[in-house]
Amino acid sequence: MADVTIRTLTRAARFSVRCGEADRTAAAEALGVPLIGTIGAIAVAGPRRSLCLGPDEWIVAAPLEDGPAMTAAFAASPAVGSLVEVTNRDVTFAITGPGGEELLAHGCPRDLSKLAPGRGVRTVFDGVSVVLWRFDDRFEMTVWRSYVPFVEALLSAAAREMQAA
Amino acid sequence: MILIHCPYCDETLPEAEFTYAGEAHVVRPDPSVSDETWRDFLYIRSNPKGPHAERWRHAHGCGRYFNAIRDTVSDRVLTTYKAGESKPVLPGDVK
Ligand SMILES: [Zn+2]
Repeated sequence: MADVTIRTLTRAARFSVRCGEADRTAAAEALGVPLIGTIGAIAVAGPRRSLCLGPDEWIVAAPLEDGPAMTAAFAASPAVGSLVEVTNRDVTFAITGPGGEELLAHGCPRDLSKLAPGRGVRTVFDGVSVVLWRFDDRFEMTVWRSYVPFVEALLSAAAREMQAA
Repeated sequence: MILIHCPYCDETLPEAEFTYAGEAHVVRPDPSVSDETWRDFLYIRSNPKGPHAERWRHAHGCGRYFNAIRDTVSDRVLTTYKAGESKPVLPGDVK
C-alpha cells in the first residue's frame, strides 16, 4: 500500500505574470523572485517562488502579506508586462508520501515520473486545468476554486482506493 | 491516446493536454476576392488521406498554438513545429 496524504494549504498571494524576454529581468527584480525563461523551471527566493508556464508566462506565489508590496513594486518598475493577482482564484493541495505519483495518475495523463523535483507544469487533472509543482517531499497542485469540490472528491476517492488495495 | 510533441515545451505529451484547431496554413485572402474564393477560404478544406498539416493548442500546458503533421490513417503525429515556421518537407512528399 502506497502511503499518501492530501491537505489544503493556507492561502498564498498568487500572481499570473506575462512579459516578453526584454522585460523579464526587470519584472523579476520588482517581484523579488527570478523568472526563469525555461518552461517547467521553478525559482525560489526565500518564501517567494515562480514557475515558468509558457514562453512568456509565469505563476508567482508568495506569503499572503507580501502581495500588496509586490503589486506596488511591479507598478513602479520599468518592466512592461502584465501582473494579475489570482490569490482568490486558486486553491492549492499538498500531496505528500510515496504514493503521490500514483494518486495523481488517477486524473493526470502525464508520466509524472518524468517530472523531476524542482520542476512544475500546467497540466490537466480529469479535465480540469491544474498547475503542478514537484518538490523533494511533495507535489503541490493548484486548482481554480470552482473546481475544488470535484477535484477534492476525486483525490480522496483515489486515496481510499489506494488504501483498500 | 495520441502523443504530441509540443515544440515550445519540448516534451512529448498526451493528447489530453491539447486541443485541435483545424487545418494549418489556411491563408486569409483579401476581402475583395470573389464570393467563391471567400467561401472556399471559410469552408473548403483539403481533408487528405495521409499526412495533414493542422493546428493544435497546448491548452492545458504552455498555452501556445503550433502546427503538426498528422497521418489521418494511422493517427500518428509525424512532426510538430512552431507557429510561423513553414511546413517541413517530409520523406515521401512530392516535390
Ligand atoms: Zn507546450
